[in-house]
Amino acid sequence: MGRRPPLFRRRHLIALTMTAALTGTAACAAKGGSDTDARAAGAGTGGKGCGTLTYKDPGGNADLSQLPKKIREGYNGYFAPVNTSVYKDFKAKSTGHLKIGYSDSFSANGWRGDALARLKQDAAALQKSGVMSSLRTANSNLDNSLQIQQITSMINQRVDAIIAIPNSPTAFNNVIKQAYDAGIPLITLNSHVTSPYAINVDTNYHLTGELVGAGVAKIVKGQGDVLVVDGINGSPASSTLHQGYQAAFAKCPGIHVKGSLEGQWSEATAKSLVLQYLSTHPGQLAAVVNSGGMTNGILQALQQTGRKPVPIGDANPDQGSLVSLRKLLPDQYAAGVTPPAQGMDAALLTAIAVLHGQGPKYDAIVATPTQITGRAALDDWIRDGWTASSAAQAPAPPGTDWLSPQQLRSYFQRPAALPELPPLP
Amino acid sequence: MNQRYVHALRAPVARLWVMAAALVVANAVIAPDLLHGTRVTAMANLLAPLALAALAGVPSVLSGGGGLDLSVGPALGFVNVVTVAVLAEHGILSAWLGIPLCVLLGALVGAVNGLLVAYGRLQPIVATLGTFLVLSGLALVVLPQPRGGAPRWASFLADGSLGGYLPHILILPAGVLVLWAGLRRLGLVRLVTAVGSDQRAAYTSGVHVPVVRLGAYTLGGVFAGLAGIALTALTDSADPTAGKQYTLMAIAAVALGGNALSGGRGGMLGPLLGAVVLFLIQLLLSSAQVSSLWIQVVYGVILLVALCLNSAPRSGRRPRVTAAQGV
Amino acid sequence: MTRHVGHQENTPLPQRCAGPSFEKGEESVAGQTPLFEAAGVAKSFGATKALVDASLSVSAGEIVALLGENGSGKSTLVKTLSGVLRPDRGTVRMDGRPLALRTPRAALRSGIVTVFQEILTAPDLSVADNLWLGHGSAFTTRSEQMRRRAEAERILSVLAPDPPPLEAETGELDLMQQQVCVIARGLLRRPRLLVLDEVTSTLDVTIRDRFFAELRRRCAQGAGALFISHRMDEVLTLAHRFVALRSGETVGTVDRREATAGRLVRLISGEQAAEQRTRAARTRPTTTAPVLRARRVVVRPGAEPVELTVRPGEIVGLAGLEGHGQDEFLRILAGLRPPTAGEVHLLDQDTASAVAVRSYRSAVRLGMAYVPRDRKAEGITDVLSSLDNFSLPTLRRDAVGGAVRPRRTRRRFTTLAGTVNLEPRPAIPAGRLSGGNQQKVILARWLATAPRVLLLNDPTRGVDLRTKHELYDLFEGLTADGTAIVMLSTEVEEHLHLMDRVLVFHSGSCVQELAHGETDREALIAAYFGQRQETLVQGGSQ
Repeated sequence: MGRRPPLFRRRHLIALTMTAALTGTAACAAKGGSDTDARAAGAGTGGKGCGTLTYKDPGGNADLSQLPKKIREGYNGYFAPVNTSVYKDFKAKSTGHLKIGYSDSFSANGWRGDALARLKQDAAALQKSGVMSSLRTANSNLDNSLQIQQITSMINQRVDAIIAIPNSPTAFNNVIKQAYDAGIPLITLNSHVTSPYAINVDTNYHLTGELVGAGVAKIVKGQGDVLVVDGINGSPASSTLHQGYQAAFAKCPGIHVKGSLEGQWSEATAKSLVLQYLSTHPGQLAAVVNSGGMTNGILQALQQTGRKPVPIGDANPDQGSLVSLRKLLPDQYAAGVTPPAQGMDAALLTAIAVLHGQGPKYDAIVATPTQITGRAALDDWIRDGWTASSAAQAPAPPGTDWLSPQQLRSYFQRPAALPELPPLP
Repeated sequence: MNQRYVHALRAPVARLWVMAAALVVANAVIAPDLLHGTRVTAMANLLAPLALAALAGVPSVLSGGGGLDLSVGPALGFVNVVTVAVLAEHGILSAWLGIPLCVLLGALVGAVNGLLVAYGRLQPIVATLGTFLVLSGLALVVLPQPRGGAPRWASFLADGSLGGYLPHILILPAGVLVLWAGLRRLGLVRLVTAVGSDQRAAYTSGVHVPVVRLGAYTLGGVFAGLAGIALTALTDSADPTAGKQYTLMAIAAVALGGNALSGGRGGMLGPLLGAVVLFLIQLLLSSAQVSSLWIQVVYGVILLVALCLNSAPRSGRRPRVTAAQGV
Repeated sequence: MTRHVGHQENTPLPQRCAGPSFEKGEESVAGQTPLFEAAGVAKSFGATKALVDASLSVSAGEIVALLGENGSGKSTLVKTLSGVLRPDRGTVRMDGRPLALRTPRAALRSGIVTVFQEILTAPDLSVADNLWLGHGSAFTTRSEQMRRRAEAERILSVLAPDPPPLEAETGELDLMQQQVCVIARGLLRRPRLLVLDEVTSTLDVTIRDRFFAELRRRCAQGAGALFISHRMDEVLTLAHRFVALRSGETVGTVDRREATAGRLVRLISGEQAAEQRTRAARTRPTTTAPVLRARRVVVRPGAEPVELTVRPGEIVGLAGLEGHGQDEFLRILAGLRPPTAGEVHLLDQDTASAVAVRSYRSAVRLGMAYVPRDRKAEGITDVLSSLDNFSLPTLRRDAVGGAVRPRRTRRRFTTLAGTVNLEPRPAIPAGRLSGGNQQKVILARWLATAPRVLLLNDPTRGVDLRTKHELYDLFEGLTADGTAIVMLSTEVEEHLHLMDRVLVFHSGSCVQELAHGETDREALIAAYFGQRQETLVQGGSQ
């Protein structure tokens, strides 16, 4: 039955009006939101300190002054306040044959894969020595409520401690409190949560960004236009790194951040975005910094548009990037590193130390990042068999002291011997 | 002698009751702590957003015409984000003001969907895909990064009384069911069913079809608003990307609940139980340490099996007999 | 032997019901305002002019029959009056006041209630809800619910001796009960003008008569009715006045006193020759070997077994009140439904071997073709073109080495369209054809399989008079070529004049087999009700 006469104009009008109404509502709402980028961009104008760092206290009620200098420096500019841990006087029900749960939020990623492999290796060794009895792992594929549920299920099954990489800094606070109430400490790895009931084993991304940025600033002698390639917008690691870069460049009046792209930690995405950027911005670029693992994509984009390679900063380079850097820019790069194996070791040892009643001092155990530059470091770092096309996670350079068992003692009130873990890869 | 039971079991809702009961037992066997008071509250909090999202999907599907609300997930995520980033930011911390505003926001989103479908005459799947994208983007605009600072009523809702055996969050689904029962009693649900069943019959009988559709989508939006409140209670914070995954789960729960996706057939209890069953399966698989990658596979299989069972021939339905002879 | 197919002129005319126009007659009505008036209504769909200039009026107490062939614009006019379509031009007045019928809701509020040709029910709603759908306030209290249920129950029991239960899901009801529901829905709204578009086609005689009685009663209370039917006997029984549409224009009005079937047919078709078509006698083979045999077929549990033998060139009619087993029997013959007991065999003339029909597929393979009743649900695929609808079951014949040759299909279609007297327009979507032309497409589809046995399920339902006659000619032509036809019909005239034999069903059993020329209307109707008249000679060829 033809009850509908043609009404094209009207329906289009309605569709448009509706969309406009929705957008308008949100635009009003957006005023309430915060814009961290704007704040960061406005900070710092001095020109003297270009390429150097100044200590910035992270805030919080924790007393960091008693820490060894090197470890205290790790908290420099840490993006969250550091407080005294609620597990200071914690005593676990059992200290042997521990059941450990591991809740990951994402699996299709080299870093996470290496971390999980290391955890399994550690668990196998510890099960032999009787320290652990079992390991439970779960993966949520970036689904917050699924991950909450997986952690809940671990609590239901009475694991002794949980190591987690939560997908959100805030969404897990309820379930972390539940774990605390059930006597189960929750240790996060490289993903700080705001709950006071967690112990965050973390990388100081802000400092990493600042270190790498300062390294690059030194290479370009404090002059020129810089492009920042971020990870995923909205991810805390990405935005904290971005702030670190901004802080470093803000000290150099000659350096201008000309743009920032969302490379999504993917070489391919980074490459196409940089290509796009270069084709619309003909001016000379002095350097490109990225949130990790995207160096190869950036170099290829430069090459394809007929430009010379420019100095690169990479917060966490992969194997292929390192090989390319040695080939093209052996003296014109700055890199940080966030090694998965060391990180996982630190998280696991922290869990065991807490269960053994060693009493963690703070709710955040922050590693001191290192700044890597120069040809010699690359020669040391790159192993036989690495190729320019490999996107696999590069293990930390030999001798990297990243929350080693020895360093970890400083973060506990009653440090004692910790079980031996297998040698690092 | 068990003829009657066999017959009763063929009803989707009865099957879901049995499945849910079996899954509760299986979960309790694997993880006995599940039945402790605090855990019950935690479970209810986890379940609530999914259950409410499923209920939010019901009216649009029921109203027929290919009705489907893909924007349920982002809508509830948007409500969650606005609660923290706008309401709490502007000092609207009172539950008496905050909760109605959340519901109103949901209703607004639903009304936009309804206008696009009923008056803009867009295909529901396309119209709500549009609002899906718009809302996903807006959530990031309003709040670029996850953030805490939910109003205090959120933690009250996440709490439980009677040692945890009475989770406060149950107010929300209970509210939905009471509202739905009221609308059914007033005869409004019947109008939606009529439009979904055969819109030409409804139209020629004098039913104002667009208004009914608009109402159905708006009602779905109200429920999505409540689901957003449940999400805020669950996470006690806001996350701009948290809502999206609820859309597909909600549609799966509606289908599992035995509601016809073609409209006109189904109620609220089925999808609610469908959400419970999906949740319990997820919990069971987590407890049994099945990889989350397999969870999706298992979901898909369960959904397909359930849909096949639900569409098994019912007695005496006219078009059944004739389907074979069209060629 | 000469056979008259169509209406006989001596049908008793109805007593006009009481109303303002009763005493004064037609002429004086002109002086006062009619209840309802439509003038100069026009409606086009693109280049197609469905209505050019349609005008009619209905006085209070009057039943006006709207006549016209398929495609004459009746349905468009009905949709205009009911608010489904907005006319391009023309005025519609109620009590002399102009109406703007923008939506069905507006039309209903003005008192114009339409029962459409299509059975429009919400299948998932209960009978009671369907009856009240869209009527009254959407908000209902419990006492209001009770009142509504009572009223629904009352109306249903007025119409049907065995009304469907109020709680039943409407989609579970059979076609006739659903039809009863939509009629009851119309009556429930206390219409001032009731528009009835082909509403009797699925009703059995009992319910139809009850409905007519109720309709007359409503008219006596001051309502008006606009009645559309392809059954001349119904129209002549019921209407006070006849308005004919041809090509979208009102071509004439006839008062009941001057109305005869012949005159009306002339008015509708615009042809002089349409009246009283006579048919040449045709020799009926009785000696040839049978082609179809049903042996002790039990239609439903508890019914008597049915025996039937059909020879090439025969037309066998299946008759009975709706739902008495003739439909099931025809489906059993077609292999669409397994019999409770018994077997159906197709016999090969040359070898005299019999093959049992076990499924619809096997029946088709053995040379049987079944033309269903419900064209919309069972036969026609609306969105496909006429050509595609035609070629669906026989496409393989046009395939050469697996690839279909469209030109061959088109050529076959053109040939067969000629056979069924259809203007071959292969590209038109079948849904846009009139009911009669859809039926012709389906017939052509099955004739393309060159069937030995043609099973027809009420093929002239909803088909205009002229097309009906064309179809009769076609059937007779087919039998002359040796095709056997088994045809279910709801029209008594067809049984009396077209069939060689008629099997009358009652309660699932065949109660009587009547031979052509040995029966009359009364005997047939009596058999419908299970009353065997012993005076009649029992026919048959067994």
